Amino acid sequence: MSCLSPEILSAVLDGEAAASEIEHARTCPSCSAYVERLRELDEAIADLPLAAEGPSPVLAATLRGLAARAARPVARVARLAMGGVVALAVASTLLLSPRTGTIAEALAEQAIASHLRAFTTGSATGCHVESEDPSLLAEWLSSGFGDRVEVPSPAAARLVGARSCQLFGESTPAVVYRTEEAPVTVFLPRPGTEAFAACERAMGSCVEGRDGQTVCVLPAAGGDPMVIVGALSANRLCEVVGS
Amino acid sequence: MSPKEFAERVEPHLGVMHRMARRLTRSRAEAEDLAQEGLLRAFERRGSLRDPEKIRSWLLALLRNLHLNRVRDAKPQLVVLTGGADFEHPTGDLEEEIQSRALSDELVLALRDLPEEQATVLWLRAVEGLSYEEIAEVMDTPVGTVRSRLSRAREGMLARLRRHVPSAVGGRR
Repeated sequence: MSCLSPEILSAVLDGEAAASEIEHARTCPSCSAYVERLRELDEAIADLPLAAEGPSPVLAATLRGLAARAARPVARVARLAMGGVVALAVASTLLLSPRTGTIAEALAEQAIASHLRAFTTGSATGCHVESEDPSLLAEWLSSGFGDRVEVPSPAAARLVGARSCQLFGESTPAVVYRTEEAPVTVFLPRPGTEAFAACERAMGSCVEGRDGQTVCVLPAAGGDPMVIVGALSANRLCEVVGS
Repeated sequence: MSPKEFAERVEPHLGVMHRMARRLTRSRAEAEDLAQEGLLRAFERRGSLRDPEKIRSWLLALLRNLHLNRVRDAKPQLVVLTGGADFEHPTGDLEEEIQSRALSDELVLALRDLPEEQATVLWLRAVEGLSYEEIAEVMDTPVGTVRSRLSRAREGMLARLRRHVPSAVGGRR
């Protein structure tokens, strides 16, 4: 029998070839040498540092959050009054029926993940640019996203910086603040994106998410939705951005 | 499938999802986003999982399709102004470390140079130990195609290593 093709020898390595082929590869010096090189290659790939990486803490935390939905089947959603000024009507909390896996929940989950990730990986603030100057951050975001991005400047929070992050797989401008109690991220989805559409449907609502985080979708100054995330009560979160 | 059961079944596969996302994307942040969204989509679509025993290949197929859709719909991204690469410090024998690092870097580059479907097939086999049948499910392709792609991937890797790190591979067959 002449030497086997590389494809058959590759299958020999994986134990996916015919018995006669495996036997030939075992006894033919040339074929067995080739299989040995393939084996060394596979072993070298399996030794790459990436091959030993475990899941990120954020991914594991997200899964715990999804599992916990069984433990709290009723989503607590605070429906807020809309208009020029955000009314703090959180006391009139509505209890909605469970809707696991809805767009609004996916939006909240992604916003929380992005917010947490910004503060647990990379630089300390997760910002691409750090500045307390809203006009500078607006300029940076606007040039990156190709249209005007307004950066909110609430009095009750100190501006830290801005970054670009992913919501529904689309780049979304985000601004990071610090309050006395906790960092807050405000996402500013662009019109025409899936995140923007999800926000429009969830406008005026707050969701108590995992890891003590609250997510609110409220109208920004121009009326477009913004998503606010932070480990604060819904009341406090609205107070901060409404100030 | 209840959320709790979903979590129990998915938990053992978070590592393989993470590594797949890391290999498919160019940065850790991008990989985190991809894995995160993949997990959420899997949760939303858990009702469509017909055979819970095949959850690993189902998860990986979903993740890969998500990535391919993202690449297809990719828009210009902002340039990251701060933040750096993941540096590792040499330890032990420096010369050996450098040689090993050269092979490691070359392997990573060679994997990146392969067509995506070949690199993914090779990764799933060599690192994650998936069977041909499981890989075929992930790639939504016949087993015979997996076999030929795997062979082409290995040949391509060996050829490149022969050119750049000749000491790492044996003589010509």
